[in-house]
Amino acid sequence: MSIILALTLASAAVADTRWQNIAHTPGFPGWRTAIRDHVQRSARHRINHLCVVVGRDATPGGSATAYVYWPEQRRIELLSQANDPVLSQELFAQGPIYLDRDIIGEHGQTGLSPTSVTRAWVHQLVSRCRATGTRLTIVKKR
Amino acid sequence: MADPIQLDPEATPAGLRERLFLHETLSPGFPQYNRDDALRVMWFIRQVLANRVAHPRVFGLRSPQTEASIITDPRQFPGFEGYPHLDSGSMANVYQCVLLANAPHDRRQAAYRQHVVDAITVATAAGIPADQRVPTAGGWKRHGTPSPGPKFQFYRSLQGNDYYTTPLS
Repeated sequence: MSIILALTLASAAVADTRWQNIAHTPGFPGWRTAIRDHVQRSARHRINHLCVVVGRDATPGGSATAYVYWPEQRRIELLSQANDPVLSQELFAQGPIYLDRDIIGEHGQTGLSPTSVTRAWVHQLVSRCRATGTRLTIVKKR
Repeated sequence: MADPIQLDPEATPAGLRERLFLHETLSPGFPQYNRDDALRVMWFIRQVLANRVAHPRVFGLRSPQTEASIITDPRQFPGFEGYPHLDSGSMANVYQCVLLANAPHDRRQAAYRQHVVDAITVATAAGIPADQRVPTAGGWKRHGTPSPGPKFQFYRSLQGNDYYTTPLS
C-alpha cells in the first residue's frame, strides 16, 4: 500500500498571482489520486519525492497548468485543467518535460521542440514549487 | 461492420505525418478534446513542417531539410528521433488511437475512428485549405512553457499547447 505524506505549504498558497497551490485551484479533480496512480505506473524508484505547483496565465481568466516536479524520474509532468471529474490518467494530457533531454540553454531561444525549456525556467519552477506548492512522498508498491 | 482502419506505412511521408499528428494532438479520450481544434492543430503542424522545409535558416536549421529530417531531429520533435521506433510514451499515444478506432465493441470507437481518419486526411491532402492556412506558422510549445524565442509571436492556445507564428523572411 502506498504511503503518501503530503505537506501543504498553506501559508504561501496564493501569495503570488501567477503561482498557486493546487489545493486552492479549481479544475484539477482527483489530482492527488491521478499523481499517485501515475507514479505507481511509471516510477523506476521505490521512494519518490514530488512537488506540485500551479502556474496561471497572467491574463484575466487565464488557464492554469499544474507542474509536477519529479526529480527521481528526471521529469516535469504537466497536468491540464479539466472542468469535470475524469479518469485519473486523463489529467496527463501532454507528454512530460524530460530534464535530461529538454533543457537546451540558459538564455534566449528555447528552441523549436514543443518540450524544450531553459535551465533558468526549470530553476524558477522548482523554486516556486518549494515556496508555494505541495510536496508529496509516494512509495511505489513492490 | 466498418473495415479496419490503418495508418499509411511507417516509411512513407504520409505515414510519418500521421503518426506525428496523432502524437501531438489530444485524442477523443480527453475531456478537452474537440474535433475542430484537433483538425486546426493538425493543419497547423502541417504548415509548420512546410515552413521549416522551405525556410530552414529562419528556424536556425542547416539546409536543405526534408520533413523526415525535421521530424526525426530530437531538437525539434523529441520522441521521433529513432523513427520508425518511437519511445514508449509516443508509441502508446499513436497506437492506442488506432487500436480504439478498430475496436467495434468500444463505445469510443466512432470518435477515435474519426480522429484517425482526420489525421490521415490532413497528412495526405495535396495542400492546406484556405480556412486552415496560417502562412507564418512557426512552432508550438506545451502550454505553460516559455516561448520558442523573441522572433516568435503567440498565435493561440489549443489543446494544451501554445502556437506561434514567425516572420519567414
